[in-house]
Parts: sequence; C-alpha cells; structure tokens
Amino acid sequence: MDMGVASYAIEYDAELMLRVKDGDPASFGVLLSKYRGPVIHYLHRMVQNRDVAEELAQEVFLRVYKARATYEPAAKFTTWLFRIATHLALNALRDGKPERGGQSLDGGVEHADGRPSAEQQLIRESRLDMVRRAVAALPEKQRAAVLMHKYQEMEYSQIAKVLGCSESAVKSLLFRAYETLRARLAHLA
Amino acid sequence: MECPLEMGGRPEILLEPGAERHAAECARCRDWLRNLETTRQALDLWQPEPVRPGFDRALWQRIEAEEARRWWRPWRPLAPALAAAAVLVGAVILSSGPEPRPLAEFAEIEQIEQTLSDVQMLRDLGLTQPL
Ligand SMILES: [Zn+2]
Repeated sequence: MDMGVASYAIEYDAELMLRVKDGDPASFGVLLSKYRGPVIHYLHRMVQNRDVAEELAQEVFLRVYKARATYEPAAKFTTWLFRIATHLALNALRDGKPERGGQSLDGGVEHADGRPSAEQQLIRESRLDMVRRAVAALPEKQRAAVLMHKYQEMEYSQIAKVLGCSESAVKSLLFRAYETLRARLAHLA
Repeated sequence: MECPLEMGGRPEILLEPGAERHAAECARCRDWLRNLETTRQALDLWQPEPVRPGFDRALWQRIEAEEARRWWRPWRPLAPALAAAAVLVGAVILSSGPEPRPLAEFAEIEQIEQTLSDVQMLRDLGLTQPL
C-alpha cells in the first residue's frame, strides 16, 4: 500500500508552506520529498502513463511554489496539492495527452522483488495489467475518487474538497467505481 | 436500517461506518462488503514504482528559471517603450558621424535587444495561474 497522505499532520505541512511563503526554499524541499511519491503515483494511475505523470507532477509542484505568496492554510495542504494534481490530470486526459506518447497503460514492473520465475512474472504482469485496465476504464471522476480513497487513504470529506463535490456525491462515485471494479476483477480473487 | 441494496435504497451508505451492523443481519450486504474487500485487495497488485532520479533536480531548475523570469515580469508593460528606446538609440548612433562609436554603446544596444527578446520570450512562455 502507498504511503497514505491522510495521516500527515495538517499543521506541520501548513507550517512548512508558510515558511516557503516567507522565503525558505528548504521547507519546500521537505514538502517535495514528502509528497513527490504520492503525487506521481496518483497521477500515474490517473493518466496511466509514467512520463506524462512525472511531467504533470513537475507542473503541480511548480504551481505550488509559484502560488506560495498567496498561500493561506485554509484547507489541508494535501487537499490543495491533490486539487491541483487532479485538475491537471483531468485537463491532460481531456487533451488526450497520455496517448500522445503512444505509451498508455505502460507497464514497467522494473523492480521485481526477489527473482520470481518467468511464469510467475508473466502471471503477475497479466494480473497487474487487468487491474490497470479496470482502473483506466473507470470514468475520470470515479477513477480519481477511487485512487484517493484506496491508495492515498483519504477521507470522504477530503476527497469531496479535492473534487469540489459533496461527501454523498463522493460515496456515490465510489460505490459505482467499486461496483465496476468488482465486476472486472472478480476473477482475480 | 433498510437494506441499501434494495430498489430505491442508497447503496453508497454501505461505505459508511455503520454498514457492518446492517450487514451482520443481511447476507446480500455482507456479500457486497466482502467483495469490496476483495476488490480493494486486487488493487494492491498495482504497487507504485520508484520515482526516477533527476525529478527533483529538473524541478529545481524549472523553479530557478521561473524565479529569473519573475524579475522581468514587472517590466513587461514597458516593452513598447523599451522598443522605442532601442530604435532611438539606434538612430542616434547611425546619425552621429563616421567616427567609430565606443564599444560600450554597442553593448548597450545589444543589452536592450536582449531585453526585448526576453520580454517576448516571457510572453510566449506566459504560464497560467495556479488553481
Ligand atoms: Zn442489506
């Protein structure tokens, strides 16, 4: 499971961002090392293309840095961060950006732990491919909701703020997303 | 609690904390919740890949470039005036006799031209505001 973002203390992140606002780039470095992974992984699962995900993540952090002067800790830092990330991901998907590299649904299980046999590796790849395709087939908002819920361990209220909808709308998105995923992934159980 | 999976029910409340209480008495909802767990476990197959080295370096380079550009931003509205000044300086130099001009003046023209092309570049690269 990913390092969830929900458990991070809001005060500390906001404090770091306020320090960035006061002209301390080192604090930005701390936020970057804390959230670069979660943001890139979220974007990767959203757009299904690693190169595009990293490109978008650069843009996310650049925007955070550029907006530092106007930063106010009104919401959780991660809400703000994932709101920017989601906005950029949805725009990229609408522009058809992930397809441009001809690399959609890219694989890249480069870090095989241990040395599984070729057959085990093939099975694993094929199961992983099914999961990727099932996630990719979800409508964008359902996909975003399920990725934040499952991999970032965000609460409904936070997902609602990121997506700009009500908590009950988030639950409804999640219910439909999990229903679709269940139907597509039942045979993996 | 009425069964959320019944027609006209709100199935999404199965995602709420109290759902288990109802599921304890309802086989259909119990199945749904068990399947949800299995689905979530299947999603665990998709583990994140390590971030490629160089990500931070590339980002800091972009930030530095952005900081450099920020310096020019307040001068953007002055671009037409700078252009006019460049033309004027050029005209003065051309009309001021045959003797060679000091090198410093040429450097000045070059600097103004450079400024103008920077201003143009800033326009071309104008980034949208953050969300
Ligand atoms: Zn029921």
